[in-house]
Amino acid sequence: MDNIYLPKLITLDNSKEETPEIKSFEFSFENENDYKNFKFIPGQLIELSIFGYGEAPFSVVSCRNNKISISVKKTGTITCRLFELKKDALLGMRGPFGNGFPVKKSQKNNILIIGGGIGLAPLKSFITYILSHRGNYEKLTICYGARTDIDLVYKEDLANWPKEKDLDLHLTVDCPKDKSWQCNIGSVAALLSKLKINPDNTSAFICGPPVMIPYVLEELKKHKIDGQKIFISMERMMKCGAGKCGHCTMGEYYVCKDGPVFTLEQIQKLLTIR
Amino acid sequence: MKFARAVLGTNNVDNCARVCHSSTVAGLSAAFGSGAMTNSINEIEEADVILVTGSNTTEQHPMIGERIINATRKGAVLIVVDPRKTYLTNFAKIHLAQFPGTDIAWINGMMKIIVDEGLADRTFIELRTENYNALVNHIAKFSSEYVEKITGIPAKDLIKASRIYARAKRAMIIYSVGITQHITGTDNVLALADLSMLTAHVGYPRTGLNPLRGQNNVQGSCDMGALPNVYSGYQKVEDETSRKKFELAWGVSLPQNPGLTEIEMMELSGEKKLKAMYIIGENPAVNHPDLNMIKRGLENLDFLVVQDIFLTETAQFADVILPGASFAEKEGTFTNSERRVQWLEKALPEIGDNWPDWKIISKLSERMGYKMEYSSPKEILEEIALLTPIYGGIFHDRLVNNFGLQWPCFDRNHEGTPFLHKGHFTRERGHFTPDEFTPPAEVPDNEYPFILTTGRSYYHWHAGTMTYKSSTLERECKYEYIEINPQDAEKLKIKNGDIVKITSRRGEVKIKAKVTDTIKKGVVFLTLHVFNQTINLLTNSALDPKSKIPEYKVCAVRLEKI
Amino acid sequence: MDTENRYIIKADHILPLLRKLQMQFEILAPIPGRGKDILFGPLKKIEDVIINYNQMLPSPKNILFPQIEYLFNYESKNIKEYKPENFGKILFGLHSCDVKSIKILSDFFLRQPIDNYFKSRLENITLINIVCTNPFDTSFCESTRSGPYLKSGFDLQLTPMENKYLIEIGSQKGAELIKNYRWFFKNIYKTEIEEQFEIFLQAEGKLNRGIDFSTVVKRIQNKEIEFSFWETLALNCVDCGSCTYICPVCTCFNVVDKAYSDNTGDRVRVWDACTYRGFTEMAGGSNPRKSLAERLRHKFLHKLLYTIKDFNYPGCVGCGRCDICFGHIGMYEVAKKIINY
Repeated sequence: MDNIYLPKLITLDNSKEETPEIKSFEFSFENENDYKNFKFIPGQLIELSIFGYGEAPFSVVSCRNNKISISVKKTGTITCRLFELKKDALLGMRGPFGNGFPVKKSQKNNILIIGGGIGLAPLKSFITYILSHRGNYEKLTICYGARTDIDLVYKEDLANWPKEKDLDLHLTVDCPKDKSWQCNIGSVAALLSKLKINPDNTSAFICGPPVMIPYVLEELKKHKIDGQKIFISMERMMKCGAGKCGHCTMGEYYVCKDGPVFTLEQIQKLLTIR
Repeated sequence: MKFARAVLGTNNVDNCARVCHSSTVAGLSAAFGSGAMTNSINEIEEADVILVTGSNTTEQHPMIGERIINATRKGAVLIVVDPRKTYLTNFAKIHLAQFPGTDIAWINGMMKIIVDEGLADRTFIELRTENYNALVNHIAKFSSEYVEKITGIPAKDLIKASRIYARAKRAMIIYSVGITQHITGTDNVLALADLSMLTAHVGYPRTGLNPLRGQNNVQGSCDMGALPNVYSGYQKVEDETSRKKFELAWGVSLPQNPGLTEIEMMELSGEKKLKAMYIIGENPAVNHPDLNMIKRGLENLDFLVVQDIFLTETAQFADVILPGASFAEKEGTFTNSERRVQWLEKALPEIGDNWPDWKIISKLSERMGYKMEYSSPKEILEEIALLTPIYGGIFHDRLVNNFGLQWPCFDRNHEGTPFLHKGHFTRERGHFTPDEFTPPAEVPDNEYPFILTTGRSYYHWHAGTMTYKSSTLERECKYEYIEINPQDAEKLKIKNGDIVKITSRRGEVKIKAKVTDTIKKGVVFLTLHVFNQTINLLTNSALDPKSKIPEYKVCAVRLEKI
Repeated sequence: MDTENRYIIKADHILPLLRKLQMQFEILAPIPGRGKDILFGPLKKIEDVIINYNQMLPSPKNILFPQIEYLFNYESKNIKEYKPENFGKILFGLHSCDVKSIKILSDFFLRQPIDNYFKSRLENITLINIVCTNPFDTSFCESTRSGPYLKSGFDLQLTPMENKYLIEIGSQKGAELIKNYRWFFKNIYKTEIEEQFEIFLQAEGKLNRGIDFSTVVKRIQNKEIEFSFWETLALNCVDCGSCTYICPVCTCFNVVDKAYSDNTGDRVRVWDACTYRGFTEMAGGSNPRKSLAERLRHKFLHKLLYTIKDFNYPGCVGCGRCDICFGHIGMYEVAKKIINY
């Protein structure tokens, strides 16, 4: 029986600046078996260890060719340290944890992806998944927003995705820095209100800053999407990843076990405890 | 103190109470004759009125804070006098927010109201006190309007508070370092003593003037004469009978003149006039005010010995470091705030090469040619009882299996003293001292327009020598802020979370701002425990002339947003 | 009632039995500390054991789930797991509620994914409890079905009777132990079982306190308890965390690194408290349970609703330890307040 608290070793391969505050990091597995055993569902998390500093949870953006990548916004001690690390630095990784997005259940559905800021990170792995299993899903609509155009992540993908078949990408920013900005201005919720959505056959997937989520839900309600088909990825303080340490508890749920992806119905139930 | 006096032959011995409650000891000794909490902690819940000033009790003495809350739930009326809206103000009937450093003004103001309205207890004053007329003459000028101008406390609130306090059957004053850490610290304490005598709220159960000491044994350090002017039990070194008694017992001749206080020692060593120092369990390199001055003092010593359980910032300056044992690895007694001497059992074997402090000191004195032969702390306690009248009946066998004894406890048959000054004051008559209002050493001016007042955090202990080692406590205290009133913040265009540079005449620090109405306009507040920052770079080392306590609580600063 | 799993041992033979057991196991039992203290710790001298103690001892949580647990050591590429010591231990003379608390802890730690540290400790431990014939004033263990005696969950249970003890087998481990030391035990008479039943009834009768947990739960579920209830409670809370540290069934912990140099150190887990502000605070400072009231509510709802949902019993054994709270926010007083709300 494996010890759930022991990390697997990985080394820092390369990093790429997405925005002034966000970087994407790619790590190699030290041990190829760890890579082979690492089976992940889009939306799942890993616990990244920086030895001497501790652990923090991050969404897996991709994992292939013995490499795993994540995107990180500089906020606390661990992320600040991560930004300082040089190539080949030794780190630890545990996971994957959590339930991930319901990739199977949402097959044959129109997929609506709604992201804000760094919230696109877990959604990107799902988008990649859909694109590589394109036949299983219907139309893919992506709505993504950030504070300014500089704060948009994955700029390359954002340029490439519209070239795909049956894919609509809608971008919006609160206040454009670049004068030549051609897409929408305003919140993601405002963007949603302009879209035409068929409520019967659509599953919506949301990840973004806490302030964004209520407004987005409000819009989805107007579009009459079924509460069971709205999925929200909740970011929480996580320490152990196994539903033991208690840091991730949210009402009756352990986010690292029962989440991070919850249906709107589940979340509404939590809100009514009050 | 025996080591300093008998082995080194100096009265230059002091303890950390110098920077927290030396003014209490000086003030209460002068007014009542005993420099300690007059009443007991468990009387708090039974009081009718509680006046709390200069103490964030729920954060710094949570167990006592909880008792105050319970008292209010049982119907006690709580009055809080504090520049900040502390947690206790949630339970208070009246909150008076004075400007830091103006305590004498509001206390004198209260006394004038009480005298004018005939609420003073004339019988008590006649039978048990002296110098009352001088006080009445002195406070005449402290009209409520005059007080309002100095302190910012609305006259009508002050009148209300005075009436509540004076009319209560049993009213208690609780204060802490918010009163003592001023250049007028001793006078502040004396003024509070006057207030309690004026209304006969001292010398009875559930009343009194109660300083909350900051540490489990700081009362004990003072009781044991780790002070430059007294032997154990506050027997004056200048008094020949006491000195002769100690000389006879220790077989040496002892110095006659009072020695130097902590801050004075540091200043002198900065000037290279003091050569060597032995610091036990204190971390002045973080804790003392005006740190740049302290560091100069430590650097200029020829020889520094530091005895501590961790390698502290102060120990970095040391020539010799002696590893001491922590509380859990030793036995002995602690004397707490309510004068209760309690026996401490050893819970753990000594870890590594450390020794308990008493053993280090006795071995050291042996090598220096003075035999200090003790087999255990029990034997030391016996010597204390022999030489210290107030500890006369305190022996090891009387302390085990119970909660200890409260001094004075004169002999084996004495049950200890839950509250002091019953029937008469320790110095026979309580002495009224008229106290003049003096503004703080630094008042705001154009260059430094804000008053900085300091406090402590719930999660950390002074210099953090121990508490910074706990990951949980470190996490709880990661976000310390400077508290700024919304009106001031607006003027300076400071928003919540902005980094602010704080400059005083002595140093500068940078820290996040928290805009909150819990702090008075014109005043900013900081705890001493900002992680990785030393706030005492800013604070002022101006001393109270009577007790030599530094003025931590007030200094003038300038704020800039960066 | 079956006589099969029950035996009698004379009171005089308890110490000789322990002496024999000591050759095979490390025995932890109530022992005298300094002063009037009683500790639960390694029994070195058999004569020291205190069987009839009437003061609250620290819970045995620390034995299975230490306050500071070293998980692994790292030194560059070497990660070395710390393995808990694996020799057999007997916890002798526990009160019934403490055995139940260990059952609750194991249900939690051993559900998927399994916590290895806890598991390997539990495997090496045999639990022997004594029926509380004089329950503490503050206990309400009958309401949580965790005392004064147990129906299951123990390895062996002792019922004090006149000059003798009735010993009950509750598990394979217990049966094994009896088998190995069979000569200490006498077969039981039917009348002695009746006697035991009498003792159970008497002990229950001595309990001062009781809580109807189902009413408490119902009132919360029906949303009868407004948020202001928790806000009032929180006013008296000084956020010391003692209630969670002293609770025999609280399990929250934090994981931190203790660095010794740039590339060596230990990863440890330490007890944590869900009432602390920093517990749920995320990097960047946002906090889903910002107020103390929300955190206190979470603590109580976890014990009263979520544990019941997951395991069918409340996260409380009615030991009354949290009565130490100066702010009167212990389980008993809070539950009473909910009932009278």
